[in-house]
Amino acid sequence: MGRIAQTRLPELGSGMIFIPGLEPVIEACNEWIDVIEIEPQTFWSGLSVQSAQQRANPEIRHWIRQLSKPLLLHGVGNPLACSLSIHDVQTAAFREAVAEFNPPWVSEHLSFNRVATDQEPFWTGFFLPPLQTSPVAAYCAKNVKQFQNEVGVPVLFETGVNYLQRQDEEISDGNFVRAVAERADCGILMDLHNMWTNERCGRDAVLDVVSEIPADRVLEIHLAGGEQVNGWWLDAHSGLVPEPLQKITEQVVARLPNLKAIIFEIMPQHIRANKLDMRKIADHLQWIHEVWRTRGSRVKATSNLGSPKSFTQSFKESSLSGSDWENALGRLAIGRIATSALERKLALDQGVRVFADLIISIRGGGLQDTLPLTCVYLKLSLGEAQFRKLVAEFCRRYPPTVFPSEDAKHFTEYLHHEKMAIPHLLQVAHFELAVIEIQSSDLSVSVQFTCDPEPLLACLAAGDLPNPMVLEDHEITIIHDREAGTSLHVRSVTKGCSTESC
Amino acid sequence: MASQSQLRVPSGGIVRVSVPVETYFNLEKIQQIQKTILGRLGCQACCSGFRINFVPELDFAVDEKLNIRTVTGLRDEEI
Repeated sequence: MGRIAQTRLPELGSGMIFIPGLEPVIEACNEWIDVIEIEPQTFWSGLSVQSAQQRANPEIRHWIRQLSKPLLLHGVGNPLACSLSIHDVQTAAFREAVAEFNPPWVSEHLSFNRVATDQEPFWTGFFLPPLQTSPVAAYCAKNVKQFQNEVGVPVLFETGVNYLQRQDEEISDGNFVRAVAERADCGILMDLHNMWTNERCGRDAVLDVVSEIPADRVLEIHLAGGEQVNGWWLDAHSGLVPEPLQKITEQVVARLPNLKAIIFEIMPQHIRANKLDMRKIADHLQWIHEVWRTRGSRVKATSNLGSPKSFTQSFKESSLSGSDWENALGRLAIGRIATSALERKLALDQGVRVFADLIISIRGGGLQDTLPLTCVYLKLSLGEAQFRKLVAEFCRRYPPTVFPSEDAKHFTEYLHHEKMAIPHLLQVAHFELAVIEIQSSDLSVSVQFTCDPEPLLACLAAGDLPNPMVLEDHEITIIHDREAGTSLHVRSVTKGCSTESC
Repeated sequence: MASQSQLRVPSGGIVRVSVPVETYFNLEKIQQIQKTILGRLGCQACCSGFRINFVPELDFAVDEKLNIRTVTGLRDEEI
């Protein structure tokens, strides 16, 4: 979509992101929400590699449809700065989401999350920043255009987080964004909290970056809060927009002639953890709504759709390819030992450690979400420190996957190989994997236990270490009751016990 | 195991007993946990922070072989 056509996109207003868990916030703050931006992959449970059939939670899809608000889609699984190009299965599934929710435009990240190797590509489990050089800008633009052709609506790319120091061969953050947008002739989603995080981590100042980006290509803004951890400001989406960034936002929005939406992002678990009440969030959304109303109010008439300013900085020559960069950063981020000269150089950048720890945290948190009873059993049996070492070693041996359900399967496989002396541990894990499996299947799944599973699972559910169990064969059959929604029925069939003991 | 179903012992001596779920399992807590799994199977959302249920300790270290070492402490989320 060209520059002129971008101006004809509808002005949607201010609103917030939707991910599962934010339903109460959206319902409570409805008055200040003009538009909802959905992150569809957050409620997909996995994609078949043979087909693009997405396993989207039907309850969530129904809830979204009944909102009766304009909807946008924001991708979180198929970023646009991969040298490997966009992912075909994710793209096809995203196209289905576009057909279902009918957004006027969609967005994805100017990051990479897959790395090519001599063998199979591997996922990084996190969005990592691309190398800011001319050839990389070229394939980023190509990816944007391809994604746009595939999904059939305009695509914006989001300015990303970067905890690393700028490399010698890179151009500035703002000029790189500009280069991609000009080559792709597309719009930009300017994430001001990402930019502020980058500034606090030693990269270019927000207003310097903004000055390098063509103002009329900025169609959407993201706002969020973060948190300070060990000297690093993290884009954690953990609270309200910090006050210094609020002031920057007010300046920037007034200078954007083509802005179509401002979206506030927050993670539901931080709302609970930080005891953020609905009144505060509603007041914050009201402030965002007031800022929205000032959009373009300080744009000089001559700057509207004018010719872009010439680059203030030329691309530098670089012998480093985008894929070499991805390989080096990707390998370090997933915990591999530095072997090449570039990896050894990058390993000294403390930002790499931030990415590496974030990835372990996400994967460890994902395992606790998908295998809660298994993880409780491990923690109770081993202690927390040993549990963490186990997870870190798992992360080192098994590269990340796209969906936490796949990591859960790999972790169970890893536990099997580790031959841990924890009675019935693998049976608990297989029970939890079966629960995951049947939610997208009309079949029933049976899981074998060599003890009575009820007291075992009940103890773990209560956070207690089970007592030694009598060895006897049991089988649980799990059925997905679709008529009752996503509720589960567990039918236990006991076998191998005599009439005397029964 | 006590059962409310009538038992029939086939010649092989193995008894298979089906019991109503409600009388066999105290399922509420377990089902609640398993149900929450279904809402947590999607991709990581668009953010760059630590998972609140798996926050690392605050020490980073790189050893002499440039291996990144992370040491972690846990902040539990209620199940």
